[in-house]
Amino acid sequence: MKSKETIAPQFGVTKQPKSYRSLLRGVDKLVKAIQPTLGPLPRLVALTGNQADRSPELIDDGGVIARRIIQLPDRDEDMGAMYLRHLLWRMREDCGDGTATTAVIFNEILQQGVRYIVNGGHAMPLRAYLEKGARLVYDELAKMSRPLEGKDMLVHIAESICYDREMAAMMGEIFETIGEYGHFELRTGNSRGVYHEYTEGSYWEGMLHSKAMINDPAENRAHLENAAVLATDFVVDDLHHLVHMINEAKKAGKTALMLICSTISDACVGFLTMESTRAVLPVFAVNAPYSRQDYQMAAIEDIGVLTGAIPMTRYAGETLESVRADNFGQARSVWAKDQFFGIVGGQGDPRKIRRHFASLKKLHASLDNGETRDIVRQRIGKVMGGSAILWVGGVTESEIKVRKDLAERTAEAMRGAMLKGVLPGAGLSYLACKPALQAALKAAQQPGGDPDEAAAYRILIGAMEVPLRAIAANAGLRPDEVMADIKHAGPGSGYDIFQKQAVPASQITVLDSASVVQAAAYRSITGAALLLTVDVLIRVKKPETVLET
Amino acid sequence: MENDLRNYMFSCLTFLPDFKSNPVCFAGTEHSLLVSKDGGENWQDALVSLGSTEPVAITSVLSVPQPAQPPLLIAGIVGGFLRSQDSGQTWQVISSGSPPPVITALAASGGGNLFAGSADDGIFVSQDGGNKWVRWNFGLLDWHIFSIAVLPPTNDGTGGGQDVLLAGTESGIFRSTNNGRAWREVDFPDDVGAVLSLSVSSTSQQPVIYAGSETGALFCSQDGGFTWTHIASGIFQTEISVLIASGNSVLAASHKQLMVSHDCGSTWKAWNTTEQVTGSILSIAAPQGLDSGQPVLVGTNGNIYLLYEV
Repeated sequence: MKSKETIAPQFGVTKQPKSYRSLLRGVDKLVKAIQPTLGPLPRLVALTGNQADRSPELIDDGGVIARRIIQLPDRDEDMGAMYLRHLLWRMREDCGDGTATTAVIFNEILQQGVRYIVNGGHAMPLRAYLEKGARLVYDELAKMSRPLEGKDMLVHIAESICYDREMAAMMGEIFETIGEYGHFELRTGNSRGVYHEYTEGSYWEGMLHSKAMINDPAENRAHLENAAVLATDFVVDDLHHLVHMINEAKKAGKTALMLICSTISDACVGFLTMESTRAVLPVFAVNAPYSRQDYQMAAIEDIGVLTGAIPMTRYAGETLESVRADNFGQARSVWAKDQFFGIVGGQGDPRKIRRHFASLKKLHASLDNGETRDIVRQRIGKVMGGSAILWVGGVTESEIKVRKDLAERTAEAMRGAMLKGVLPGAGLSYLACKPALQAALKAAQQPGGDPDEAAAYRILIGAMEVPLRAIAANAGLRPDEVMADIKHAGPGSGYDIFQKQAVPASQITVLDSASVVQAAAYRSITGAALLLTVDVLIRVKKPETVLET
Repeated sequence: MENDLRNYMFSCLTFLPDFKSNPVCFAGTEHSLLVSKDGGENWQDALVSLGSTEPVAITSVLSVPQPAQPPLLIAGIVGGFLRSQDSGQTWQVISSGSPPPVITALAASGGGNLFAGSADDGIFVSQDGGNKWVRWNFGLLDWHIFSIAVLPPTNDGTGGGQDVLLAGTESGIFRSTNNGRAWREVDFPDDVGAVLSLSVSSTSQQPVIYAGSETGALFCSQDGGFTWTHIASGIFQTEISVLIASGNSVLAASHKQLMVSHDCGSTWKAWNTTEQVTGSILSIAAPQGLDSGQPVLVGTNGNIYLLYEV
């Protein structure tokens, strides 16, 4: 008789000093792959896949490069690389840009931090002081940032991210119109270039329940003017309730109605599409947006505020039978086609709309989580009304994909720039943090000061130069000469990479989104500080195996 | 047409740019658009060329100077606009789409753009002299427009010379810095009712903007509409329906009351005129400014006056 025998997983353990060496090597390998992409004059990285007959991919996005590096051969080195890889991908997802900057600062802090620790420093206090320094840098950058105003600056910042003049001009105009919260959508175009269009009003994902409800065949949509709106999450399957709803709408003086509900039975759809019903009150029904309940309720709440409707929900025990006049909102125009429905000119109380808008903005500012924050931002965009669609074309499918990806990152970074302002680019804003760090270092070096604190500030001062050095090297310049030129030019000077000379800071033309610059600094410093406290690496040598004997 | 104007509500007024030499002015009423060729003494129907037998309610009217051409005249009606390119001799009907809006306010910029506010449909913009109108409401959270003011274009590079506008709405004021394409809220009290009137003093170095509200609150801004200061506290008891600003002078109408300030709103006095105004004041036009001795047209519900300050 066969029996199973389990071989327990075997673990490999790496202790100091090998653990530090491995982590450093792993991080360094990843950073060396990403570093060439930094700056306004970047280099490309060629990436090949498993298929030998395909030409390599040429990538200039640090986050994508990191993502494609799945595993290093040495398992210990791989731990360091994967730690950084995860951090960089989160940076890309949340901010859209700044991955290469994060990588080089992270590497520098890790290298210098390990050097300090192996020479007698203490990892945990060093970590605490590095995190303190991270907050100092964050605050200094916040003080330096200036608001992004006007289309020219928007185009400028877009171009500094995507390096595509045509796309940057369009993105600048789009974001000047829709604002930092406005709804922006990317779609694949049919031509080589990029073009854009604007849509009026607000729209949500929600299917029109029946094509028989279409009354505008030219546009292939259902469309009603001066229509009432009933926002619910009901499952509509009772004809009597539907008749009650129509009667209440008529009593309230409504001449058309858009019904938002979770589902509606075929019998009810048939009733609504009958000519006799339409003669009494034209109605079309759409799916309530989102399948997730909390998102759905939030969307219904927003529609209620926009139109002045009091939403109804089955979780409160309500049904169509309990509809009253004040449950109906009003809009100048409503429409529905295929997968979307929209409202133009909601007639809700404008003061309530503005208060709702303000509370959503406050909520957005308080959130850290990327997905939830995105949902709230979308809600704000819908309350504001209006949306922009950017159609991205290209010669090949992969070119379109790359351009769309670039546009998405640019949009994310531009939103951040509009919310938090801009900073001088090409690493100059980090250099400008040095005086504050030097002052902190001086304070830490006073008698009675903690040497670990002083070490942390020294490490950070060195790290603040690294982005500009990498940018200069990528542009074919000598980093030491660039730093010397800036020092020679005096305080308040920067470096123009294109003109290859030191210039007053006011003449710096490259701008970076402040939110990206701040996030890159903070995440790299705190991420590296945490990794410095890792003492032992444990990995699974062999996976669990089941033998049948 | 008789000059018995007692049954008319004179909701809007305008005049031709060369009023001094050619004293033609127009008054919008709920029956028709009236024209006077003698500076407001006598009035007749301006829409004869339309050949309509039904009343045409005029909700707003605007005269726009055109270089080397007769001025453009735009009148707001329910569902669209009337447009004349020959000083009111002939008119075209311009539709603004469906559902038909009620045009409540008109304004023009020096750059040739026209702007129309509506009761429920936000702002319309025309970039071709009023022939085609497009609704532009990005960021406009309140589509109930009562007044529009155009500021001098921005020259500091941030707006690129684009028109800067303010829209007075039911809940406050919105500002646009890019020809009305996009609107942003302005920090303005939300407990003073709708902003019924806006006026910009066009002759001072730093434009001063005045906003009058439904509750009789008057505000002024000296930074392009970003921040507002409450002025003339306690002067006005009811809605400030009309404001006219010129240089340091401001004329404000509140119900039957006409008040004037000659020091940018710091001090106010009753505007003493050659004739007493009866009826609620709905519109004012000051073709030659607010200096003493210059004629001012005042439209009410039931009459139209040609007044001079004494």
